[in-house]
Amino acid sequence: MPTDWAEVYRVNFPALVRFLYRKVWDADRAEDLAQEAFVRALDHDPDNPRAFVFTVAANLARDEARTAIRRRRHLELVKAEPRTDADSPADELERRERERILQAALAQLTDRDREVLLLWDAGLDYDEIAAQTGLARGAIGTTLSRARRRLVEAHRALEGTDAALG
Amino acid sequence: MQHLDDALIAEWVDGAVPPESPQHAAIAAHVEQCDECRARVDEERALAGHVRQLLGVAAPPERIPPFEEVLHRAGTTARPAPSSGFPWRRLAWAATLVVAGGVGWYARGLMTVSGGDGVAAPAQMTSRAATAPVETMLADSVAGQATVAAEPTAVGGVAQREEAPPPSRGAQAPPPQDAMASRVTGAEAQAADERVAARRDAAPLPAPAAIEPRPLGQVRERSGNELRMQKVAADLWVATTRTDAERVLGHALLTVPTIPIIAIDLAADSGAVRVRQSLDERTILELVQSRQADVPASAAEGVAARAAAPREEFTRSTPPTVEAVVDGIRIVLSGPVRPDSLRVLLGKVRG
Repeated sequence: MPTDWAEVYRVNFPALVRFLYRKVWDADRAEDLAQEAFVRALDHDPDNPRAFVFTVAANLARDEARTAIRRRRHLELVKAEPRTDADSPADELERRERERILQAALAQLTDRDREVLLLWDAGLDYDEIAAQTGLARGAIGTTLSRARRRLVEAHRALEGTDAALG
Repeated sequence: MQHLDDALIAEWVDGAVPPESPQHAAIAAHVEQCDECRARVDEERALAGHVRQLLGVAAPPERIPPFEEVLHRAGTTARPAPSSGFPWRRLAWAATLVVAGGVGWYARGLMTVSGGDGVAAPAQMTSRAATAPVETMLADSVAGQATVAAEPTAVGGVAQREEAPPPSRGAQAPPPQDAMASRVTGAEAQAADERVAARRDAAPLPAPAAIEPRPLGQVRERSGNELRMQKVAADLWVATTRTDAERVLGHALLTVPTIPIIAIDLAADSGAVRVRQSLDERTILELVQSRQADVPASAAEGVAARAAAPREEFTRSTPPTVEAVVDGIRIVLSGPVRPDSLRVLLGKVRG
């Protein structure tokens, strides 16, 4: 039975964008990469479309991170745009601050823990996470539990630091 | 049954234990009667909920673009992979930073706008800017002081602006550009010609609503060079989104950090992209970039390095302009701006 790509796209696109956003931290770029993942999926017609697009997306984000490092080395031309859906500048400022803390907390996780955690939050099941990360299926629960705990601890510590600094 | 280990508790909480499996029933029974394991399950469940809440902070606005956009992209044969390397070397572009500003010029422009001329002039000016080589654009901008924004607007929006009709061209044109700029200009003009020719030959883009999802394997049969563009009038700048601009450029949009973006425009006929940023309440910075001649990787380093350079690095000419060529990037400030404005701007670029 042929894949209903429009439905696969509709169901998975938002989660894929969220997954990518937490890697590239740019909404437009995340959306663009998500579309690119679907374009490549259309080319390959994989058996498991969702797993495929997440795998491609993870690779795209990894490449993106590498080039971002190179880009920063050359020139600090970054995007400093406010989101347009914020209620007010104060809300936007607060959101950015919370996001900054989350980003820093995520950065403290190991690559493996972070990947498993983001895939879990994107809605992938244990089998799909195992297939994508190369971990044994039986190791996913332990990894996830540890990743969740470390994220919360790191986040709490960073919030405390920020509060102490005033 | 022994107490549940961390892995099993996580699986239980995440619903990863198949309900039909014997293990499911055994775990359910154990959790029911073991206070310790039940407490750990509750703790893990609360932890998972807390993590979801934390991650929810980093969620972009939910927007699902039409699936037709993906089909369009899939049908674009000469499509570069967007993240297989930052395209400083591979992808060509030429960039010009033009700062035309100053409240005096702005006020003067307001006073000289009159009737039909005031309406027609901007289109004429922008049309030329969209297609002209870099040197011409600079000459126009410097001589005309043409682009001055009244107020910054939201990102992606179109600046509300008042523009004065450009004075006669060449009256105050800058001196001849240096060899680097000439090379960029030549490559830009040549690439623009090629793009115009290619676009002329390409089939018109069908409206998204007219595109029916095709079975796999047929999507690649679409004609090449199909890019989703807003409905545009030829020979004009039109507002576009960052995503579309980057799609046209084939690489990330170049902007200057910390300066709000007030508009992103696409040249209908040349494919050039113009980013307009509000340097301050009176000054607009324009960055025109194209997917054209290759820019040396050192260009960016050059900008950063020269940001700290003494003022003597830059030349002064009449009328009051400050110019600098940093590899392929030409930066011109003109109008009643402070002499060290360029250094300040480059300082921002340097971050």
